[in-house]
Amino acid sequence: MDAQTLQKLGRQKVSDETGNQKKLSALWQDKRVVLVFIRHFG
Amino acid sequence: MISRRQVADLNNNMKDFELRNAQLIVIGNGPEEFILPFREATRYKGPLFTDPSLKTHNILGFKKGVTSLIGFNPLKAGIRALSTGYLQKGVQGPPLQQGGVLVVGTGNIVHYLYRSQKAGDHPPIKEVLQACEV
Repeated sequence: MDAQTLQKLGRQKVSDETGNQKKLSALWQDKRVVLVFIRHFG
Repeated sequence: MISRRQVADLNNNMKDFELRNAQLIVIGNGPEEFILPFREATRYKGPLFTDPSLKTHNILGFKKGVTSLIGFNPLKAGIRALSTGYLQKGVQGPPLQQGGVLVVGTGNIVHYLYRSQKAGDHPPIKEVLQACEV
């Protein structure tokens, strides 16, 4: 994945269970993260 | 049912990630109100987010379509999930959306990317753990 795509990804927002939104890049700003994208909440 | 089983499996590996100073984060694509029931079903206590817009999935190039669901493996994985008690209670998110795993860290460095080819297709846990070490 190129830097541009990662930048674009980092700008996307995700929500937690209380509806709080977070910029994706904030998750890996200060640590390494394993992002597991699941198909659905089945 | 496949996602639940996958996350339940990941629960067992949480310590392995922590030992490597990596944090496990699960990102779904269903509505926010399905997060709590999902936590209860999987007993997953780590960070959990959702992107119902599917933008993140699209940017990562995760598969979307019927063809990725055709094949024997999804059926087999489904039966395995069924037999171990991970019953799907309705579809809570786009059922044709495939997932994947992205390991990324400080300095915007991508260490690993895996795109699931079909339902029930997950990367070997060994590969993901290795990506946390390099």
